[in-house]
This record gives sequence, structure tokens and C-alpha cells, in this order.
Amino acid sequence: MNRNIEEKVKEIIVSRMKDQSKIDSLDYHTPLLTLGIDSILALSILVEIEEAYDIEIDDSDLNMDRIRDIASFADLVRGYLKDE
Amino acid sequence: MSKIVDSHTLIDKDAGLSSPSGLICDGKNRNLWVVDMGNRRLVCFDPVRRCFRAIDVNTVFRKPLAITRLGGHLVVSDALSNTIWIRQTDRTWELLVAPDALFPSLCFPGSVAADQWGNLYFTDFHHDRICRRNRAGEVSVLEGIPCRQPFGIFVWNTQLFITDTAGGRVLCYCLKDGCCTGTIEEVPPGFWPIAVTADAEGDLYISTVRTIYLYRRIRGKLERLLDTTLWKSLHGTKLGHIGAMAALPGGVLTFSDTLRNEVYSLRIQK
Repeated sequence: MNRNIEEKVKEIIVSRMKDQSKIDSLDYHTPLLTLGIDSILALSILVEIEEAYDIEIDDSDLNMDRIRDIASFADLVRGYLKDE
Repeated sequence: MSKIVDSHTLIDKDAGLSSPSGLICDGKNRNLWVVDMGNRRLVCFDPVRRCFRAIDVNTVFRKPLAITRLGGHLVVSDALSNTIWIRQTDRTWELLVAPDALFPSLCFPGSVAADQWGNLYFTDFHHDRICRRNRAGEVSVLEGIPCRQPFGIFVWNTQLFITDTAGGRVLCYCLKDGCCTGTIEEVPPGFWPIAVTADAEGDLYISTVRTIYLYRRIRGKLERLLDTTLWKSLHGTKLGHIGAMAALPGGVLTFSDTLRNEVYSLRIQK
């Protein structure tokens, strides 16, 4: 499961994207802001990820730098899975 | 020991709110105005009768975000068109601040606040600046406020409080002499303040994504008022994202959750 975090994050993001025409250009380092994902949508994605992995990300980690793209989202999740 | 003596849901998800992002208390009749961002509506909630009415603003706003009162009129910012509007007595909306009123153009007015002299203040999140529109309609940048990605502002008496979100600080700007200072000396690690409000005594409530802090100025210390663990024990649900807060008379703090699409109230004994 650990190796597929990026793919799981991508799957959740794609399901939440309003503009599906941008999916083809989506890679792990595409800034979420360029996909029309604002801070509120990013946090709702994060909540879905928390539920998928049964983790709770600490407030101090919840800034936009930590969830700017799929790779950083996945790194954040990975850190919590390591802690457990 | 928790300072929260009571909590309840003011507006539940059945009301159909979508990302309630702005909140103010109407001082005259104690109604709550909620910016219902996702539905492009304003919702006026009567906490006594527990009923609300909605005003569609979808012809004016693309993404209404923050709300305040200026001279008895509602003022709302739009995060997509980067504009600020005022609601006139005849219920029409008039543009107060256009994006090109500033150079570079206004980009993401996260919060709005007004003072007793009729000046309007707003944050320009992506340009790291705090701006003012005076009574004559002149728009300018307040000098001497060093901040990064400022989101929240609130006027209490003659002081403008600002959340320097990326800087991890809360600033206090004196509206009389233009002097800016840091408000809180010690903050916890990873403190990213977003919204700020104050009660009648001038004590501050500061939110991060899922935590509300109380800053009693007489004590000069930041205290954790509400976090996910306490909320779960009080309410039985998980906190999503604290969008906005408003302090009501009688030690009540209200806040919106932009992910759960609800508005809650906390009774606080300081």
C-alpha cells in the first residue's frame, strides 16, 4: 500500500477536479493551484486521504507548502505511516 | 481544564451550506451573517428563532469569501474576481475595490474589516500586503507591516490585528499612529494562523486549520481552546477546516467548518 500512495492521492485528486480536461497533464509535481484546487478543496482532499489511511495529520503540518502537489501530499502521508 | 462550557451546532449540514467561509455577528439584532461560498449566497441566521434566510449573490459574486460591516452595510470580498463589494440600502451591490485599484493588482482578498471612521481594510494574500480604502474611496497599501501571505484581519477599537499566516505570527497595527508590532511572543511550533477575531474585552481568538487559540492580552499567553481531540469528545465528530469565527456577546464564539458545512457555537468561560 505504501508504494501506491502517490497513485491513491492522484485518484482522490482526479475525482475532485472540476476541470477534467487537465487530467492528462497531471503528474506528481503539478502544482495543485494550477488545477483549480484551492486551499479548501486541498484540505477536503486531505481529509479523504486521512480517512483512506486512517491517520490524522497534525495542524502544524497543514500548510499549503506541504500539500502543494501529489508528491508532497504523499510524502506527508508517508511520514505519518512511518510514525505508526 | 477546558474553558468551553457548552457547544452546539447552530447551522447543521441539512441547511445545505457549501464551504461557509465568512462570518459576522450583526451587532444590532445579533443575527449571524454567513458567506455560503460554494452556493454563492449570503445566509442570515437568527440564533433565537433558529431560522435563516438566504440572499442569492450569484449575479455579482463568483467566489464570495469574507464579510464585514462598513457603516451599517454589508461588505463582501470575492476571491475569484479579486474584488470587494458593498450592499446598498436598496439591496443592490456596488463595487468598492476593483482589482486594478492597486499595483500589482489585488490577488486573493482573504479577509475584510472596517474601523469606526469608515475605513475598510483588506488582506492581499498573494502580494503580502494589507490595504486600506478610505472614506474618500482612495485605496492604498499600509506601510510598515512586514508579513507573508496575510489571511485574516480584525479591527478592535483602534487596533488592526493581522494573521501573518506564512510568517507564523499575529501582528497588531495601531490605526492611530501606524505602528506595527508582534502581538504574541511565544507560539507553538508549526503555528499557521488563519482567522482572527476579538471579543468585547479585546481578547483574541485565532484559528489554524483545526485548532482555535485564545489569547488573553492581560495574561500575554496563547492558550489552546479547541483542537481535534477536544472537539471529538464534545461533539463526536471530526473537525474539518475552521473557516471563520465571530465572537458574540455573552462569551460565545461561533465558527464555521468549511468541510463539514456547518456552523457551531462555543460558550466560553475565560
